[in-house]
Amino acid sequence: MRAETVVQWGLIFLMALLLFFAFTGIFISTLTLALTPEGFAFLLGLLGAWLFANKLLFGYGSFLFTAEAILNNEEVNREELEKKTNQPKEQIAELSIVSLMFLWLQSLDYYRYAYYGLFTLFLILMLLTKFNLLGALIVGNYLEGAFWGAAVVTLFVFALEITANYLMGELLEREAQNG
Amino acid sequence: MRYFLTATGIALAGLLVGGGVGSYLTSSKLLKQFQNIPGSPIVLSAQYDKEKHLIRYAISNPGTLPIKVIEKALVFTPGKESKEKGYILSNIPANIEIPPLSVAVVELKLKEGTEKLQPGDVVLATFTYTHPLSQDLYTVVHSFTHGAPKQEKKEEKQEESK
Repeated sequence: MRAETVVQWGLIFLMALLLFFAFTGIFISTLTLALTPEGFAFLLGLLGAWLFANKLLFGYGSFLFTAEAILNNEEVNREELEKKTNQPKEQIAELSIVSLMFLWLQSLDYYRYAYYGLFTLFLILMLLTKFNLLGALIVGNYLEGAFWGAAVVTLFVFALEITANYLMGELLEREAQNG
Repeated sequence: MRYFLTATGIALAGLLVGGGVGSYLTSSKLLKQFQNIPGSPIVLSAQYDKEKHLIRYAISNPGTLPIKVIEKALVFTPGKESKEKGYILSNIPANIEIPPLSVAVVELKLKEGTEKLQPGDVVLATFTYTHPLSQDLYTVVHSFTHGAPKQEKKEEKQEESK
């Protein structure tokens, strides 16, 4: 029994050591990433896309928190929810909480379309530079870096968006069951 | 089912983006390695200009580093139809830079006062070039035979002799 504990702790120590070196490596390679022009283009694309996606990231993020609170039968501040829908107060005074959530999700659609539209435009621009070998070597390579940076942000937007849609479906289902 | 599709969709998108980012960063490093390999010039074509008495060479630089032609030399060997004697011109200074992945035209003047080239004359041109990564000198040697039909006849004769 004692031998087993010793081996187990030895393995845990080894694992911790390996993880430490791995994370140190990741940290150092992230620092050196910014030193190459491609890595700099990647970071620039990441930050630029984040700038446009920030409203969406925080909008869908807070939507997820509110939807989970409703699903857990916690109390939600109705006034704040009404503000989020961007609708006149008189029109939504008699609506249920789930309807307000639906309106909130719809109000985020404009930003979503704008973001995806810009991302697609950037993708097309990047591909256009890639048709020519010289263009690909001079600008296409850096545009591709910026594109992949933007793709990381787009992944988070996409993930938050379909999770929000999933939770909205859950809310609607529960509303239908409750009558 | 909807939960499964949502989770799988996110995971798949994550895999695609992760693979894309990883392969981009790796391949750009690899591309940088290749970009530092100097190419060796290729003579695409040689044409004799009768009026100006010179030969124009189209030289391509297939590499991604610029190449500088610094010196030219030629050896003239007369064919059967020519009355001219053979001669050598060497150390002709040149300063022609061929940008990466492009073609430059290099002119090689034949000896002044000599006869026009006749079919069968051979001009052996030597171009000396350097590239930015080293101080060494490299050479390309190109053999140019004036007049195409004469060459075919030679080949026929060779076949007969065999």
